Amino acid sequence: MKTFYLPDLGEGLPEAEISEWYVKVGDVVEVDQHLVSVETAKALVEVPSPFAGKIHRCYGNSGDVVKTGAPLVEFDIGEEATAPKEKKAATVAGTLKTSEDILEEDALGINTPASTQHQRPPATPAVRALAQQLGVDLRGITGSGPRGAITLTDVTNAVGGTVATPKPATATRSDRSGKVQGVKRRMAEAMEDSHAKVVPLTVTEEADIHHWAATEDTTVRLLQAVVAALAVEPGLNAYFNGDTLQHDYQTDINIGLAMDTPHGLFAPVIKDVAHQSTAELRQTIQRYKQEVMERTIMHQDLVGATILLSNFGSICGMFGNPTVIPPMVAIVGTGRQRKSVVAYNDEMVIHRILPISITVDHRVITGGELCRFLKAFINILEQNNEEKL
Amino acid sequence: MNTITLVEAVTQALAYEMAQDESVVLLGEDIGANGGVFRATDTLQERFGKKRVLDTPLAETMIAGLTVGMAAQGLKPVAEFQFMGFIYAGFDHILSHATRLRNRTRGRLSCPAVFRAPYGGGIHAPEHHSESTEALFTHIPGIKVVIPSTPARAYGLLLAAMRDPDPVVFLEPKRIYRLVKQEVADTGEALPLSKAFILREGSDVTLISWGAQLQETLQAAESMAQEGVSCEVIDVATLKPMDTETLLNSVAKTGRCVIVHEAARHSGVGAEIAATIVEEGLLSLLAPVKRVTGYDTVMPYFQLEKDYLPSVNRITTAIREVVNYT
Repeated sequence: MKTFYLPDLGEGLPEAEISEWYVKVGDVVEVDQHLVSVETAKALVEVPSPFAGKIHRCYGNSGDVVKTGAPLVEFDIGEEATAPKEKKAATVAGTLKTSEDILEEDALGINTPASTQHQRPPATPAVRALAQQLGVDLRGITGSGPRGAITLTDVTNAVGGTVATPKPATATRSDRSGKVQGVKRRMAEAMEDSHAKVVPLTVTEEADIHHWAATEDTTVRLLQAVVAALAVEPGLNAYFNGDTLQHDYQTDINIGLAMDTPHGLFAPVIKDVAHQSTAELRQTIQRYKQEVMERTIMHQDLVGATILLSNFGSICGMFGNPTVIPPMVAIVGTGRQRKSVVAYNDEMVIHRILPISITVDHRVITGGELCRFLKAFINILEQNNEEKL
Repeated sequence: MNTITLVEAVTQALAYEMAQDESVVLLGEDIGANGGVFRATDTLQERFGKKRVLDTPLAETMIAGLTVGMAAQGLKPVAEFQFMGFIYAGFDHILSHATRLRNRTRGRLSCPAVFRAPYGGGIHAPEHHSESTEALFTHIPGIKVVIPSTPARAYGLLLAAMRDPDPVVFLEPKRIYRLVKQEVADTGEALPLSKAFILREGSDVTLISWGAQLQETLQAAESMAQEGVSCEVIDVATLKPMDTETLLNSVAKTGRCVIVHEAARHSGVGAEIAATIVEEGLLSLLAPVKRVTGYDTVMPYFQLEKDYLPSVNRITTAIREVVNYT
């Protein structure tokens, strides 16, 4: 049995009048459950139960005055001497988790000898980011920075040119001789490879372009003419592997456009020319020209060509025998446009003509295929502007 | 078989050193008759007497001051602060004097003292009982800061701390005081201070931690192994002077680093480690150095403790971020 005495309800009030009982003898109550409301000199107060248990006796009825400290309710607590609320284990020392697990481990840990040769090429995060952006593989680049670190210059040289670095440009070497590197090195290697493998056949022609407007966009028109001619002879848009004798016709027409720069020969690739509009082609050509000069061209824009176009005539030259770069099988070369005396409708006239030289790999492309391509190419170029599709 | 818990390893180390070096004395609240609130000094007063195991009044400033004085006069005191939260009252004696005595007296006096305290959260304790402010000490020149993570390392590193001729703060991760047992032979062999311990070999990410958080870090490493990510786990142990060579060699190998500490983020020891790695290991980094830490708030009461302390989940999330970075 536990007796609950009326507590001090606030500010030392000596007594309180019972207003209303909420429980009766026999009721089972929980801790904090309201037992009774009492009225003091100041207020009406609810009295909560300090125990959980069964009401054994209620002292006083409604209207009776109970003194502070006098018995109010008697509880039959039963077996439990304490409240049923779980005792939080928060002692000052806290609760330490214990277990019987045994740790099998050397106090000194694992002895891994420091590997001095780690596989990864040394480069700062900024250099790695540039390499990723330009599509350059850092492995195989010998770093020229401190402790063999790969520098920004090393990365851009691997693409093919020097990039404008934040610091002022170092003086270019006054002597031009030296080991060819970067773009020039790739050209040397590619040409030697071509010479070793390709059996070149070059056929030339002239296109009468007196119909062309004075402001004709030559390059775009040439690109579109290549596409049209390939519809007649698709075999020139292909890859040939001399070792496997595999001749793979390519569905997309990706034309590599030869560009001459002070730093070497670049051939950025205009992808899927067949589905580009005239405006798009011009835009791409301009962009590539700028990127090549600024050395910001991305590696992915320098690969994937299926056929090449070299407008060497923009500098000088009538006819040539441009070089086929395997695994491609064809290259279209155009010479300098010039006014020439030609026979036209059985009369001597002066017309603007465009010389054309096309080389193919005779291992896989016949003279017939080449000439049919050439004929279609010429026809398209000679088409009147009104006739042009 | 002498398999003991971390707190028992502390007792074992204290007992060993007191037996073989008479100048070692212990002082602190409730450490003598009571054997310490965590029983870290259990039976020691019985064995070595009241003159060598002192029950101090409830006065941390006095404990720290007494310790400096004793150390300066030829004793090797090991002071216990009942919880790291109470060590702040002794800060002035430790930082203004213990760390400077040798310099101030040009070597005529020194302070071969150990200041021990249970530290860290996760034990459902009230305020001040879950502190993890080791960064306050690592910042100060002239003091070493050591945090063991296993019974064997607690034994070996505490012996080394007691034998060190200069002051050492020895913080015991109370959350794992009794969590595991380990075979610790009572040989009196100390472990080297300023050496980091590689606990798990890996090749994809370096995980760096200390104290109780190594439990979660090792679990995270195990979990990531299921995802095909190989984590190397390193216990720094001596936060100052730090074995940066081991840390840098590991990052040179993996290229990625995640630092885990329960202490608050801002200016935590993780920041020092990250700065060192970037400064001296930049060429190896493939991703930013990430820190998984407690928040920049007071350690919450126990219902939110598990949200505050770096969980296995938060650690694995950080690991995935650095692994997927590039």
